[in-house]
Amino acid sequence: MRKTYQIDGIDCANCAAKLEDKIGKIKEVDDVTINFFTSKIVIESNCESDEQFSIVLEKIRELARKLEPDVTIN
Amino acid sequence: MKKNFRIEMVFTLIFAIIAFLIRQEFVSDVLYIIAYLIISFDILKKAIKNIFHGEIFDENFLMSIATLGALFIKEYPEAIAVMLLYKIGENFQSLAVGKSRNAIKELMEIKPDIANVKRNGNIDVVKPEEVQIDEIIVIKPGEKVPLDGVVVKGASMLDTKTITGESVPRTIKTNDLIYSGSINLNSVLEVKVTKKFENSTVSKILELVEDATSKKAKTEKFISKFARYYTPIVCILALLIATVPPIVFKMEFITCLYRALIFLVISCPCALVISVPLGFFGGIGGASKQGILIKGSNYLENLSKVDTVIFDKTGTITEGVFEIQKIVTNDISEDELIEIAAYGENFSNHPVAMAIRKKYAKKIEESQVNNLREISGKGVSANIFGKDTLIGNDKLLIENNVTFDEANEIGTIIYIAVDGQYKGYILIADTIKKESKKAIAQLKKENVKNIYMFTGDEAKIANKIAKLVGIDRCEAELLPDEKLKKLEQVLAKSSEKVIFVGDGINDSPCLARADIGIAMGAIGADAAIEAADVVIMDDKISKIKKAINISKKAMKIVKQNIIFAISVKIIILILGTLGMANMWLAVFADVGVSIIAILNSMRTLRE
Repeated sequence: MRKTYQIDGIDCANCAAKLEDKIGKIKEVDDVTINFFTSKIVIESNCESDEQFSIVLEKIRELARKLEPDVTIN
Repeated sequence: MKKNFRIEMVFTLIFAIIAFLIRQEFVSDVLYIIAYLIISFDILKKAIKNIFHGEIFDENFLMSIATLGALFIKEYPEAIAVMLLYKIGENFQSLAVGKSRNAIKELMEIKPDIANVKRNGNIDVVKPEEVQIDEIIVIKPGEKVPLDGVVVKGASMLDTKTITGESVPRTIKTNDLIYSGSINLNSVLEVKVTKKFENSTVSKILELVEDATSKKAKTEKFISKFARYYTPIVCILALLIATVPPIVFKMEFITCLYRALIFLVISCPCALVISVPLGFFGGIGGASKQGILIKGSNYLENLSKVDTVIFDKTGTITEGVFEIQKIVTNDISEDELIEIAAYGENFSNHPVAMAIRKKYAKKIEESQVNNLREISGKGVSANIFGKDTLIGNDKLLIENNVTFDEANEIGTIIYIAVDGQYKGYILIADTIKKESKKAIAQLKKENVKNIYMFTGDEAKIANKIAKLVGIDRCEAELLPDEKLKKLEQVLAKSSEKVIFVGDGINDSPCLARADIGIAMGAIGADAAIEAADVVIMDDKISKIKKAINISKKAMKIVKQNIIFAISVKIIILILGTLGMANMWLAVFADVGVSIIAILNSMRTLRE
C-alpha cells in the first residue's frame, strides 16, 4: 500500500533525512521518502487494510512529534 | 529573514559592543554572556529537548557544545560570532530553500483551479474534482483546460506547452481529444469530459513528478549514508583531539579543546543533504517543463550513463500511420481488388489491415467471408464471395504455388490471389518521421555508441528505413518475445546503460526490462505511463537527446557540490587540527558551502 501525505514544519533537510531514516525502521514500513522541497511524504507499507495503515500512520506521527515537535502529517 | 532573528541580532550586537568597550573584566564577561544567551537561547532549548529524545548528534546540540566550549575557555566574542554566523547562515539557507520551493511550485502550476460545467441550462463554476464523466464543460479563452475530454462544439488554438513542452499552439476542432493543463487561446470550447480529474493527464503528471523523488538515485543513497556516518565520526575525532594530545604529548588542554570545537562547528552535513536531492529534483522538474517526464531520480542518474539506444520502428522512428501508397492490378479493377482485401482483412487489427479498410470505407457483409484462416507471419486465406482467396505476403503465394510477379518495392506488399490466380498487389507503407534522422545524428554526437532498431517488420523494409535514418544495426522480423530476448542480449553485452524507446502500448515488456524505458507520445495512454521510466509527451524522439543533456547537467552539478562540500570540510578539518583555522573561519566555511551548493543546485531547475 502506497500513500502520499502532506508533511509540514520540517525546517531542515538534515532533519527530514533523519526522520526518514527513523520512520523507515518501523516494522510495517517498507519504504519512505520525504520530499523536502514539495513537503510530501510517501509511505510504502506492507499493510493490507486501511485500518492497519491508520495505526501505522499514528505510529509515524508520534515518532515525528518526538523528533520534531512542529511537524504535522496530513 | 525572520523578524525575531533581527531583534535578537541587534540586541546581541549591542550587548557585545558594550562588553567589548567596558574595561572592567567581570562586568564585561557578564554582558558577553547575556549577548550569547540572547542569540543562542532557542538553539540551546532545542538542544536540551533533543537530548531527552536520544538525539546526541543533533546539530543544535553540537553548535551548543561548540559555543559553550568557547565560553568555557573565555573566547566570548568567538562564541557569539559563531552562533550569529550560524543563524545568519540558517536564515540564508531557508531563504534559498524557499526560493527553490517556489520555483518548483511554479513548475506545478499546471493544475487547473476551476471548471465551468453546464448543468440544467446554467453554467456552474466548480472545482475540477467535482465534474463527472460525460458532463459538458465550457472553456473560455485564456482558461486552462480543467479535464481531459472531447470537443463537442467550437474550434480554437490550444497552448499545450506545459504538457508537451511544444511551443507551437495546436489547432483543434470538434471531435478532437484535448488534455487538461493546456490553455485555450482564442475561442470558447464546449467539451465532453472523458476522465475524472484524478485520472486526468494533469493529475498524472503532477503525481509522477512529485513521486519521482521516491526512487532514489545511487548518488542520493550514498549521500544519506555518508551523512549518517559523517557527524558521529567528526564528533569522535573532536573528542580525540581534545584528549589525546594533552595526555600523550602534554600539549596545552585549552588549545586542543579549541581545535576540537572547530570540528563540532562543521559537523553538519547540511550542504550535501540539501543540495544533492535538490539537484535531482531540479533536473526532473526542468525536464517536465520540456514535456519529458522522468519517473525517478535513479532514471535521471542513469540517463547520463547511456551508451546504447534501441528504437522500436513503428510509431517511434516512423509515424506509425500506414497508408496505401500504390495499387497494382492484374486482370481486375482497383476497386474490386481493394474490396477483396478489405473483406479478407476485416477481422485484423494490424495497421496494414486498418489502412486497407480505411481506403475501402464501405460496410463489409461478414456473411460473404467464410473459412477464414490466419496464417501467422504470412497472411490470411478465406472464401470470399464464394471464391478461395489468398491475401498476404510472397511466402503465402509461394506456399500455395501461385505464380506472380514479385514486386520490388519498399513497404509492406499484400499480394492477392483468387482461385489460384494472381490478381495484383497493394503497397502499404509507413512514413518516416521528419526529425528521425536528425535526432539519431544528435544521439551519436552525445556519445551514444550503439543505436539499434528492433522491429517485427520485414528485414528488407526495416534495413532500408534504418539506413535512411542513420541507424547502423537493425534487427528485423522479431516476434514480441524475440524482441525481449534480443534486448536481453544487448543488455548483457553493454557495460553502460541501455535505453529502449517504444510507443508504449505493445512494447511494455521491453520498456520495463531496459535500464531506461522511454515511451513516446504517452499523452492519454495510461499503459505507456505505467510501463515506461521516462515518458515523452509529444512524440518527438529529439527529446531523448534533451533528456540526456538535462541528466548530464544535473549530474555534473550534483558532483560539483559533493566534491566542493566534502573538500572544504576536509580542508577545515586539517587546518583546524593544525591550529591554523579559528571558529569564525569554520562556521563561515560551513554556512558558505551550504548556500553555494544550494544556489548551484538551483541551476538544474533552469533549462
